[in-house]
Amino acid sequence: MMNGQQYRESLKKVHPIIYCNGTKITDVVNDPMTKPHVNAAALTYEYACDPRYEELCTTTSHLTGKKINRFTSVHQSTDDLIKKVKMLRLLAQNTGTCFQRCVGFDAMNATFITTYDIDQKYGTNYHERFKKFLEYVQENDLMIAGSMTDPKGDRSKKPGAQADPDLYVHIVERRDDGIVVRGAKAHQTGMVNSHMMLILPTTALGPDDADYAVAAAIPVDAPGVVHLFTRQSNDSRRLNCEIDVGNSEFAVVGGETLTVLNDVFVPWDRVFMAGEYDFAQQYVSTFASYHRQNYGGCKAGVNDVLIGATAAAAEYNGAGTKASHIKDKLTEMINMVETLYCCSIACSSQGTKTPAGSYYVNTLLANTVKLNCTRFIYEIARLAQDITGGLIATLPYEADFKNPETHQYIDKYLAANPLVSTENRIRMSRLIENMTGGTAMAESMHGAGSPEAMKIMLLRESNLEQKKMLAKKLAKVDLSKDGTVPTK
Amino acid sequence: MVISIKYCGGCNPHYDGEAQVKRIEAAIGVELVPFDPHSPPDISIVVKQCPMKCIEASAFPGRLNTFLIDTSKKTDEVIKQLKQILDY
Repeated sequence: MMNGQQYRESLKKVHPIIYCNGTKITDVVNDPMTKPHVNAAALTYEYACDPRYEELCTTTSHLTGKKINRFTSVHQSTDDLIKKVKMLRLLAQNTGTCFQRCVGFDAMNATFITTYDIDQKYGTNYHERFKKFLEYVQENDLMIAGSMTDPKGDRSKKPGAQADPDLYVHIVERRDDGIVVRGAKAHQTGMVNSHMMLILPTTALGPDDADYAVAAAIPVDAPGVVHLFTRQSNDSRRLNCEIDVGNSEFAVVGGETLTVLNDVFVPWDRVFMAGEYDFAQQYVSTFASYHRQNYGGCKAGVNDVLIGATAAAAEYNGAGTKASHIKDKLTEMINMVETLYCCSIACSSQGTKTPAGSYYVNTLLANTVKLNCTRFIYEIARLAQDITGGLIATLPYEADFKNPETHQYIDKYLAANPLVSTENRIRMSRLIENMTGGTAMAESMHGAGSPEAMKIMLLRESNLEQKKMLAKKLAKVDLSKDGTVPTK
Repeated sequence: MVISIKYCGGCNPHYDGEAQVKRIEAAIGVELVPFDPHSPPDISIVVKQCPMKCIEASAFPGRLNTFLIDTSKKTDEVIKQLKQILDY
């Protein structure tokens, strides 16, 4: 396993082409735009090497029997699924943001299951191929960017019917030694500080779209790959501020890209799906359920920080946490966070063993996690801003706080609780400002899929017919006079 | 005498487990080593930092004794017993 420093060193051996705000980033470890995201991902390595956290952050490889970073593992039990959630909460508590590595973790677990099923039907050897790749990932402790979302273009049209066929990644050439893919992947979390990406389909596909049914592992610096590091709220503060960034060490959200694949060659030993369109839907929903499972871990942890920040801000203001309305609001925030956590633990504990031998979450409960998250996060943020006060919208610049000419005014007029320095009050307010604004909210809404996607799954998984029969039985309806009962 | 330490995952600490371990080390003058399942220690100390049942002391046994610390107050009790075992 690598530690955090070794991970940073390993990134220097990878040379992705990255554009950011009109220039190229050539050193992701030290560039101010990417350094915080590297720091967050580095904690996933650091904690695996720390005896205080190894119980959650490491496990035993079912392939080699060796101790590995949990992010490179395939779940072997419901205990593994539960420990994943707890690990995510732990890391989020200590980063206050996304640490990116779970997307690849989930993509690998989905690939493990789906390749097995494809092989069973078609007699292919994707599963063995993937296990060799997974062993390579585990031996080298790589960070894999899970790469599902295509730009999608006109949402009313299927991939092959798009005006531009490249709006979904597809195979453009098949050779004896591999395939060539073209297209792009959007919203790619942690891509610039990963070692490889694992691309998979983003939607159900039909026979006309067989070339869009592609899954493969590609180095982030493979020839033809171009990354555009995307803009997020307040990100330019990283260039010349520390206090005003809020969370200066780890920033906000994961650092995402639009990643373009310009006729990228992939050798066959790194291809895990090539045309088996009838498995695309399963691949997508398997990945999505694993990823939705996470939000009661990671967002619970992030909001543990926000709850703490809000309570601290109330104390720094002098209002304290004893006022009944503040206690009530903090309690409501806690209730929502623990509800998300409950859902994640539930979907993990109710997981089942797949034919491939790995463990998979309960999909109904996993989708419940994320759907609740899309609502609760906004309410938690609203309460945080309510308690903290309007100051988070009107704080003076850090440069003015540090300017000898103006420091005295800010220090004097923004003082509140006499036991707390003005600087501390500003720092806590900036943390809350950045955690509750802009991109952080959008990520909680759309990460792992938009609310409608979860609602589709909930309705599909929820056995509405059985619920109707329960009601009809208790109401003692005469079923012979009920034309709505489905005939068998 | 090998005395090892095994922490729970630490995702919800109600007290500082590491600080308690440092107190034990200072009290008995022995550095505690991480639990190694391939080489069981003489004495194992398991640190559980919240009321949830995530870690079982029995899963990390010492050949002579296994202790569970689940609150910071337990540390004093464990120190007393360790001193008796080590004959201080």
